[in-house]
Amino acid sequence: MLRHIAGETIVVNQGSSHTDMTRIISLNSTARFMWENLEGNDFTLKEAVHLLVEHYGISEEQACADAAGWVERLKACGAILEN
Amino acid sequence: MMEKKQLPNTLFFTWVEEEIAQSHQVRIRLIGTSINPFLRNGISEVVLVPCKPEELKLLDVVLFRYRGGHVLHRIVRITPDGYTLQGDGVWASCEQCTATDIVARVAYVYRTPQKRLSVTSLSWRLYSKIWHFLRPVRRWLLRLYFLLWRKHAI
Repeated sequence: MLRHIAGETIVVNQGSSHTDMTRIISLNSTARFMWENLEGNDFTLKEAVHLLVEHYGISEEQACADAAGWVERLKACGAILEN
Repeated sequence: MMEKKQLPNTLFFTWVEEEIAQSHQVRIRLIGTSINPFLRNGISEVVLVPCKPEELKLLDVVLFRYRGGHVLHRIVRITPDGYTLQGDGVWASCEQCTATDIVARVAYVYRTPQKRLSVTSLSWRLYSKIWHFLRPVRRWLLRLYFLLWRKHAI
């Protein structure tokens, strides 16, 4: 779940009856853009890369590294589940 | 693109209080050595749950408001006027608070993030009672603990 606190956009693992505040992650504008476009959907790494390339016009190699880093960090805080 | 953040304490605990007010369980990581020796600074975590004053018992660990901040310590005395609290890693000082200062009680502890222990488990209740019983000699036990586990405790 995305929250805005003290000028920061952060992701926190929140269920209907629990909130895990041990793994809070702050998002910059790029990470936030990806979150807002992919939240609640099943997606592949390729789709995340495509999103970055389309929106920011960066190389596929750079987008791949950024998207993989984004996925890893959000997996670590339980915000993304791998199928 | 992303970085781990530590929110200022005031904001963090305002958020914790909001979650508790919505009847959510909240998992937080502990900072400080006053919760040693079982719980460890920056490593151990607890799950907080909403509580009513009448449910609170001696030796429960609670989050309470104290001198403009928030503290997680154990109830060591209950009187009609309120509660006396003390951290497990403390041998001399205590805090006093009233029922309205208590935000939540601890339901589960994680000494390490993977190992969950209910506060109703036999091992936690035994640890709580034995450690409480040892208060007269706690000073020496804690000194020994800090000497042996300095690396983890500080």
